[in-house]
Amino acid sequence: MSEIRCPMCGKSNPEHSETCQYCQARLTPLMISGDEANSGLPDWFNNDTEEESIPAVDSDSEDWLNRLRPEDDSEEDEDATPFEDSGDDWLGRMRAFDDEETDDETEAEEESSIFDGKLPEWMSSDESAENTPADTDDWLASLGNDSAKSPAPEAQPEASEELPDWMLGDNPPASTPTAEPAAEAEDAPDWLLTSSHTSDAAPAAESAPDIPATSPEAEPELPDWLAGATTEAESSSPTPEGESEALPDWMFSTSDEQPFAAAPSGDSSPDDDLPDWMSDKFTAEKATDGIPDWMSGEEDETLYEDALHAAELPTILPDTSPLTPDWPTGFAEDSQTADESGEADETLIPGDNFEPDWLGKLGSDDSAAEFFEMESGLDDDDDGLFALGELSDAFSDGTDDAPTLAGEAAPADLPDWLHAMRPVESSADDSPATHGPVEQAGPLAGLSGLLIAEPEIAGLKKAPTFSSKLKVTQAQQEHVHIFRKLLESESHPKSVREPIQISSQNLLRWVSAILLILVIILGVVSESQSVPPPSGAAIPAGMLQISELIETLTPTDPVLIAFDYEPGTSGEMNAAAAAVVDHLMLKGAYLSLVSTSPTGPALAEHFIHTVVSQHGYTSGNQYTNLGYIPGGAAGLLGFVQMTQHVTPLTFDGLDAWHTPALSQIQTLANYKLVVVISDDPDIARSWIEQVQPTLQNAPMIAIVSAQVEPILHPYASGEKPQLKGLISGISGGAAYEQVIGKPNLARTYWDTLNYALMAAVVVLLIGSGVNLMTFFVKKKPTGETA
Amino acid sequence: MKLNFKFKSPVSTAIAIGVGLVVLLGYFFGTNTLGETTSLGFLRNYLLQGAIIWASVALIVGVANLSGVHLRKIRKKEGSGYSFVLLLALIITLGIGVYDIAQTHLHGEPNFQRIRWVFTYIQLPIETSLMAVLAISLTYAAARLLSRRLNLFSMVFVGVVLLLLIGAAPQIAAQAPLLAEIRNWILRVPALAGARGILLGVALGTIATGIRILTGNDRPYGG
Repeated sequence: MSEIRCPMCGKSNPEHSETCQYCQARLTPLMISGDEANSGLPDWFNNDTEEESIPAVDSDSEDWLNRLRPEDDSEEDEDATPFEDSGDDWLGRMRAFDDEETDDETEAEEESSIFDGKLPEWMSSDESAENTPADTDDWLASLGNDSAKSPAPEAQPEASEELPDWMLGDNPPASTPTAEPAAEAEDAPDWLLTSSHTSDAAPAAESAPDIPATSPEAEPELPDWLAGATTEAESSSPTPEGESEALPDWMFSTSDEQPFAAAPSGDSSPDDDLPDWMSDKFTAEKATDGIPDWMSGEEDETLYEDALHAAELPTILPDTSPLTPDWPTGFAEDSQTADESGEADETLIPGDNFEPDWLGKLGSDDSAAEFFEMESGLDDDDDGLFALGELSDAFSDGTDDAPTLAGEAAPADLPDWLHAMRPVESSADDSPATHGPVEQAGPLAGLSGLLIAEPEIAGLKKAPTFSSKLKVTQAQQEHVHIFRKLLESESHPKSVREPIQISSQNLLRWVSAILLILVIILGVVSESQSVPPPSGAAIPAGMLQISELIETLTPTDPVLIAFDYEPGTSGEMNAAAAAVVDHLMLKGAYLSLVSTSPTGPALAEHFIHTVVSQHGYTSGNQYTNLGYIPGGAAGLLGFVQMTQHVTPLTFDGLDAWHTPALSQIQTLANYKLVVVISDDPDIARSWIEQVQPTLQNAPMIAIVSAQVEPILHPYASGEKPQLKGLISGISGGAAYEQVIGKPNLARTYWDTLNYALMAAVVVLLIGSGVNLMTFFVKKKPTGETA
Repeated sequence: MKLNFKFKSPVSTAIAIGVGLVVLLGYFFGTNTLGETTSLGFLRNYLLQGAIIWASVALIVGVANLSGVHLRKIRKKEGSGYSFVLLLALIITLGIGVYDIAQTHLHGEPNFQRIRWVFTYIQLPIETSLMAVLAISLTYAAARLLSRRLNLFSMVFVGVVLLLLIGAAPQIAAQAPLLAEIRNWILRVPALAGARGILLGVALGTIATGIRILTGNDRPYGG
């Protein structure tokens, strides 16, 4: 078989599947070790489990009856019977156990001979009853009236008194050393007890696997009825369906399970003949008649109970398997196949090699043996109730199926005792509340009070749990990691690579600073006068004009000097203006100091008291510090328009315009000279643009920083320049000093300026050269890369 | 009914335009042929005095604003150290100046030695030192110019600087009169031309700005 049909859903599954792939029901029972299973199994079962030692038989084409046919005589083994070879000879052994004083070997021989030669009456009648129930009246009547007439009571002195032969013949209480034969005969069916214990006690059964399927001895001892049955089977050539279906289930069970079939033959000698009804009417066509009347005529309670116990075995075996017992159908299929192959005459002969499918599975299933062992133990204690509960539906189904068999066989009436055994009907009257739910399907259909084991347990399979965690593969995790890094990199600003700090730049920075500082300090400290001042053509033409203007001044002439420069440039501006102011002081001019810068008045005071302090000018006497003129250009315009109103007080807080020198000043045009000292071209331009147009004839000269010279130079050039003279920077001051012939501060700074300029030129040349080389060195690799 | 009319803007604009026109017309009509100040001249002078005063007040306001900014920095601990030093120096200097003014008025003669000392020995050296550092920084910047930006203008700039420095150096100019002539030529021709251009541009810009302010198109006072 390549498929296993699920007992729950009925769907086909692969052969090696343990659970149903549709309903997850367990297909194969739980396994136990083979030793344990074999220890509790009867011989016939253990022998059947040893499939490998049994010669291969086509189960589809042969059945056990085929193996009993004379064709099996070709087998070489003469010491064993077909029942000895197969594990189904438990019935024969049960019969052998009836005689407690006979040794095991003898019993085995007897069993084989008995079975080979003569089937029990019940067996014969059973099969014949299916064919012709009416033909079984005589022997069945003897069964029902006097059990002593049957061969069974002869072999069983005590327990078989109330049992039919087939029931009592295999009651070997002595086979179990620890159990009393009488007690076992009373509590449990003998055949079952025997079968459950003879596995260890029957040496013949142990050696059964090595024995060929059919022994030569079985051929001559084949009973007539069996031979006739086979002959009729050949002549009738029943259809496979009719043949398989004509047999009731209980017959299948008995044919498959040798104990039941061989039970009554235990006490029959090999020479015993089958009853007439069985030998004459054992045909396949008549087998479809159903249960024989002899079965229904059985009124003996003992027989009834034993029959129940006997029926227990085939009930147990398929029950141990979760699969639906296919042995009945398998038997039918086998019969069908055999019929098709022209061996229909062998289908009814149980052979030693015959092995039903369900039995084959049980043979390989250790759990079946375990269960069988358990059932044996239970049978000793709860034989009555358990026997009822463990009735196989082989009987019930057989009785039910009997009318539905092949059409040529008339349905027979179900015997009462068998009808009573039907679990479906018997349990139908029982209330589920007292006995539990009624089994609805399977071989135990109709039985109540059963322990719901396999189907519900297997069916209640725990639902597959799925992890709530997301299953992420390694590759996906790597992708997530990469994506996460990408997102994080987006949130972080890309670090700007810091420019490479070239050490030469730092070196250049420090070298240039140190060089300039050292040169300036050296020039100031040394008070060097080595560098000649500008002279000759180097003196600008405006210097002479300024000198001439100052030379025209008389003492106390008011001169307005604007100190509009910042303290930061005071060094340059002081040096540039020192010669001019000194020249003015030499002339005794009255100085009016004013500034548009907040720090201008302070610078003016500082200048008067430091640069030209040698003249001893004092505030209010030789000069007046008018202070700060706010407002920028507007302030200058106001100072031009409202000179006294804009600067009413001196820097010292005194009245500016009430001094003798300034009392004559109404407007700026009253000043003899206006000198603008500024380092800011805008301020200088404001003075030129706002003040100079209002000066009228008063000249204006500018002393500016060197950086302002280019801006103010246009005002000092041309035909009518606004500025009569322009002195720029230290060089201008030095030139003017050179003009007036009086060295002053500019000359002091002249050498230092010379050195500082030379140092600056050197630094600039070196730095430019180094940086130029560095630029090309840095650019070259980049260009190569590009 | 909500009026969206902005009162501030047209009024300030009108004031700015009016004052500007008065000052401008005062240049032409501030005096008569006799040289006497006209009414427009008086009005202009009045406005100029007000501008000078307001500029002085603006200086005080500027000092107050500067103090407030650094006070906030001290509260927010943003460069609080420098702000604290600045405010401390402001307070000290202001106190010394007020004290000297008070002493001058008390004694009736100038007495500004303290504030002069502060100026001479603190402010003047500091600003002069900063200028000296600027000279060194400019020298170093000129030296690095070619490493930062090597193009024609940079090279021209560096070359001109070198020529002017060399020509300005008295000793070198004495030894190499040609360099002095080159320097003078640069100052007289290119530099002068550039300066004139700048002055003309500034003049035109000033006129344009004045017109824009007078016409109300440019309102630097806001609104």
